[in-house]
Amino acid sequence: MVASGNRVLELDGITKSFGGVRAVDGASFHVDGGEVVCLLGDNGAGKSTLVKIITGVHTPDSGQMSINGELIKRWNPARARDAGVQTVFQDRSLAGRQTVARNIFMGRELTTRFGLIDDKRQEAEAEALLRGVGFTSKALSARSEVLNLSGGERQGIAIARAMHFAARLLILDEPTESMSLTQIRLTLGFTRAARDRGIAVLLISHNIADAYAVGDRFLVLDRGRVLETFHKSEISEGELVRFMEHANADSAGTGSRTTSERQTTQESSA
Amino acid sequence: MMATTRFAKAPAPAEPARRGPGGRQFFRTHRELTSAATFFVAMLGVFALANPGVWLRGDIFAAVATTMPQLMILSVALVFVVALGEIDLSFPSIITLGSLVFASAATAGIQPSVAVLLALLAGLGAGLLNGVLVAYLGLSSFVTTLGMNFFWAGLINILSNGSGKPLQFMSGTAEFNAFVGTVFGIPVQLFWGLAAAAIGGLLFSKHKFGAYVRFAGDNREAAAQLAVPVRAIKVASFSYVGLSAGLVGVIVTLVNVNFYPNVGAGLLLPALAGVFVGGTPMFGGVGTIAGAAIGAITISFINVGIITSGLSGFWTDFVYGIVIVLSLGVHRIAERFSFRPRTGRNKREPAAVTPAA
Repeated sequence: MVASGNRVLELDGITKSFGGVRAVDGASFHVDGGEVVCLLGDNGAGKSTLVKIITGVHTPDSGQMSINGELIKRWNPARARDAGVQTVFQDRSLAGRQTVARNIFMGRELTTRFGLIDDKRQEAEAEALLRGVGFTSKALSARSEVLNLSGGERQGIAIARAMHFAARLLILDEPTESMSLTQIRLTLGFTRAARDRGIAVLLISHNIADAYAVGDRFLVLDRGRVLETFHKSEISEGELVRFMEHANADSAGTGSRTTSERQTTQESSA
Repeated sequence: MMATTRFAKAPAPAEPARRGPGGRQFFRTHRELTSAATFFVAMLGVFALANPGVWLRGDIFAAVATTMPQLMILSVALVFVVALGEIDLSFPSIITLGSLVFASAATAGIQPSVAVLLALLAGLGAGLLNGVLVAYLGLSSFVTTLGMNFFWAGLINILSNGSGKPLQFMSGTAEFNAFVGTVFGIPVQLFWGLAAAAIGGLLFSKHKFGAYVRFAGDNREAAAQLAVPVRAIKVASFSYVGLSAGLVGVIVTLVNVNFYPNVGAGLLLPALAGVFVGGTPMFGGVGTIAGAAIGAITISFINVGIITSGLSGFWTDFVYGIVIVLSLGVHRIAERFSFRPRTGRNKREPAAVTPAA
């Protein structure tokens, strides 16, 4: 393969099964710096499993993955983080009974000279980040417990965290789910901002309208494989929606898949 | 009508501070500690009413300070395991193990300070084993540590033949004075207890270790996604309890100037009660070291309170039961009280960042 100098992520023939169910079945694609690639697909298409492979939560059964042109051997969340990969997971990866600041800096604490957590600095930076993401409500502070926040607020915090630390690759898993229109606009704005800074963005979504609004390329995933790839110039939003409906209708016809699909979704989110 | 009311109220919450009046903010962030302290004072008040004169004498407090620190050291360490959403039931036998190792080494003529070190290492090792079994084999901590409690107790019985070891020769040695001597009439172990609480408090609220413990206990999946070493944190927490149990093993052995094969057994329920009376809940993610210290003090005063009130020793368990259940009730009320304003405010919060239905 001809790797462009800017190739951040490259997957080649990635396979992953859970108890006999193939969640990802030979997926190959790449994401370059400064582009937004959207992974589209129905429930159980393997989107979440792929995300967890790229971020080191799951190890693939076979296939190759390179980050920044380097072939990945032993991959785990800590290495992914160190390689500049940041992810906003579908479940937002927030701990409800901890403060917003502690959540934002979890695993990357700012410490004092004595190795203790510098809560003051973390809170100040967290406040700045929250304002940067567009939070204006004074009821939400860096010291709020996440449990007391709305779904949109939680999403904002997860995005603020990923934006703050993403060096090379930003993965957004269903970023606009359960968000108000204002919040969606902000989220998409941030996605563009990340791309304009040269970050490679991989966006996973059910919502074709949201994906089309920011995406440069669209990969349609079906049963763990990349079914089709479109550049934005090749397809209109309407055509993309129709293509997805068609693909979904096709795969819905294959009898036993629905149950195995559910298992996969459950396992990959367990 | 409804909508108008809500809309009219909407702008109001912008101003009312996220940081309420100082006292209320303190109460919110330290609500478990505050309610534990309130409960303790109330309990002392009841005991004092029953026999006011006794409580003006210092010897009662000195008596409590002889045994209380052991509970404090244990309760403090247990907070880490409980905040992780786990439990340790094996520490009583680890205490006895530490005691046996210390007594055997000292009796065998090994330098007492080395004997102390060996006891601490034995405790640490036993805790480490618990941690590895729970974190890496994925065993239930409840069942695993229950089993390990039997395992160590049985092994100690086999090794010691069920008989004790007198250690009168230790009395008055430098090691004896360092752990259980007195300074200005204050038992030295009180300083060990307070030091353990201070170190535990710092670790729990200001160090990465404590932050990871709480985060992993709160949302294990999220912790793993954020590259928090969840397994290592579990192993470290169980090891911490083991090490603390080893230390308590040394202290109780020196207090009794004797090893006997079930020395730790009586500490299981009081030490755990200290954690929960102190306000650390069972569901993980939350805990309070200061609360656990107060919880250990509360539990330690029950015995004395019963005796000074003129009740017989048969009342002890009965009062323990009342104290534990009542204190949980107090914590629950405090939690509701401290949550109410926040939830209320959130409900009134307008559409700025609420999710689309």
